[in-house]
Amino acid sequence: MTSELQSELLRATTSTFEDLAFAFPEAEIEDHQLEAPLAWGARVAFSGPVNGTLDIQVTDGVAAELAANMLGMHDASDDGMKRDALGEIANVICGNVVPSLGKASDVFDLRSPEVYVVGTDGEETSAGATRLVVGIDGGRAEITVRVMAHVVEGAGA
Amino acid sequence: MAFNVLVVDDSAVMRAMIVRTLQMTGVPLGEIHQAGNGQEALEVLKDQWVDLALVDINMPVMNGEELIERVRENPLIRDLSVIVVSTESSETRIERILNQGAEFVHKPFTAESLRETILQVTGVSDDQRASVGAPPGDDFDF
Repeated sequence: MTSELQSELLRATTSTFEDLAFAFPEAEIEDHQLEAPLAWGARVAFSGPVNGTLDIQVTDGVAAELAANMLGMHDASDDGMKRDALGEIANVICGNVVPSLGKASDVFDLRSPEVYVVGTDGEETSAGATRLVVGIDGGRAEITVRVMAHVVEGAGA
Repeated sequence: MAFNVLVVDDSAVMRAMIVRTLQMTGVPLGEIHQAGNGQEALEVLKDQWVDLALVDINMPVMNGEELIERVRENPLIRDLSVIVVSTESSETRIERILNQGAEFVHKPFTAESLRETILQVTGVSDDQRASVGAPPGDDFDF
């Protein structure tokens, strides 16, 4: 499932960035992109046959670019715009990824995105997580899917 | 004929994007109203004449499915044309939406696919389509 999830994560990330924000992620990351500090994060929790979270963390420049492109503005340096845009990006990627964790008939519920400043949300282990890093212009985006628990049908009270 | 539209989404960015896309469809638009959740949408529908609602599913306070249910229960607005705009992929939930008399557009979407769905859900015939402005050639995706 991990490789399937990895390819689905790449597909969903690429199409969401391209179609929603006219941004074109690249798998090859240059040093200056890796060195740029991650600034903003957004987390979407999902529940269903499988529970978990999807996190996206981006550099400040990428957050501003996403917001500007999504809103059709030249400049979107306002933090509120960055937060809203990144939350929506996380929501769409998550909504397109989670079906690969279950059957076509399965219903997943997505919580509203929680946007945070990177470094203030506590560290979570990446063990067992599926992670994707892509370069975008001068910065990068890191997307991580964590599966918390497999809900077994008929289990429990 | 111009359509009065209500855009219901808890994301202000997504509402802005949907409005932009609507303006690119070539469909004649009248007033465009916005609401951040189902409850706010019902308030708008009390006071405004709306021909078409574009509705997200996952929203706080009142989600899209409950909104559509409440609309269908109200004799004054039960015939409202509704398009659900969502990332939802579950066949079960999409079927439930279709059974409520709503159409479905998957995010991300194009101006062209939104236009086709609007014309379908509002009952514009093929003959009438000719009189509805064509979409711009620039096929932006959203």
